[in-house]
Amino acid sequence: MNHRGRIQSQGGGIEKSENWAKNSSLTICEGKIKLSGLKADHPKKILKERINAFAKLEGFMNNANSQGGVSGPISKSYPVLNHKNKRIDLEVQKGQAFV
Amino acid sequence: MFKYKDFLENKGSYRWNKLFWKNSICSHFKKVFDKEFIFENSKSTTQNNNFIKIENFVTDTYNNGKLFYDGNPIISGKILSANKAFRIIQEDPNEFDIFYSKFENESIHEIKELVIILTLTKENHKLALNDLEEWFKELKN
Repeated sequence: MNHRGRIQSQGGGIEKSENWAKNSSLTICEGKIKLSGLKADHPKKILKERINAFAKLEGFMNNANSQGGVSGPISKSYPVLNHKNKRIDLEVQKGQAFV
Repeated sequence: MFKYKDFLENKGSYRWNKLFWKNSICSHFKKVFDKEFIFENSKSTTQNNNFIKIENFVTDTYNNGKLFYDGNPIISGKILSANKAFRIIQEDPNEFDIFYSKFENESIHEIKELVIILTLTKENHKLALNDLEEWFKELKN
């Protein structure tokens, strides 16, 4: 597969991820569906705690889309405020995303 | 207290901030490892070809070539002779105040990385350089 990556939620006993491996670029719509799927996988209380980090990731996805997308390798980590070991990660291993 | 406090609003400040990291990492590594270091794609004035290259690790530009300008990461690199990489993420001091966190990661990029997340104070800068020195300690040999 030429286009691979994942978004994941880490720390505080949580390790959840949404991956992709495709022959075509990950579109912004597909990225948003992955993000919604990851958010939906969290209990409400934990989601609330990480909501700002998720919002930053979504903001990056939107910015990327307006700038022609991104190409791997990309790694971004969004820490959860006041929780040093909790974070949301984006990794684009290869190929393009958010086009 | 915070260096380059306006780095997220001022693109000039952002670029100086990136350069500050590049220069201080090369300078610290030269001091502790007694070798010359150079970031890939940097304009070098060194006459010494016996330097260690810090290669590009992750991209910080969109497909149109524009920088992310979000500090995530502010700087990254990999040193192939150590088979390790690093990323430094600089957060907004208005949101995070004084903040320092680090973790080791087996990323999907198939290389071990040290990730440091901080707000840029003099103390956190020193801490980050010391953590990078420890991470690449095998370069002392």
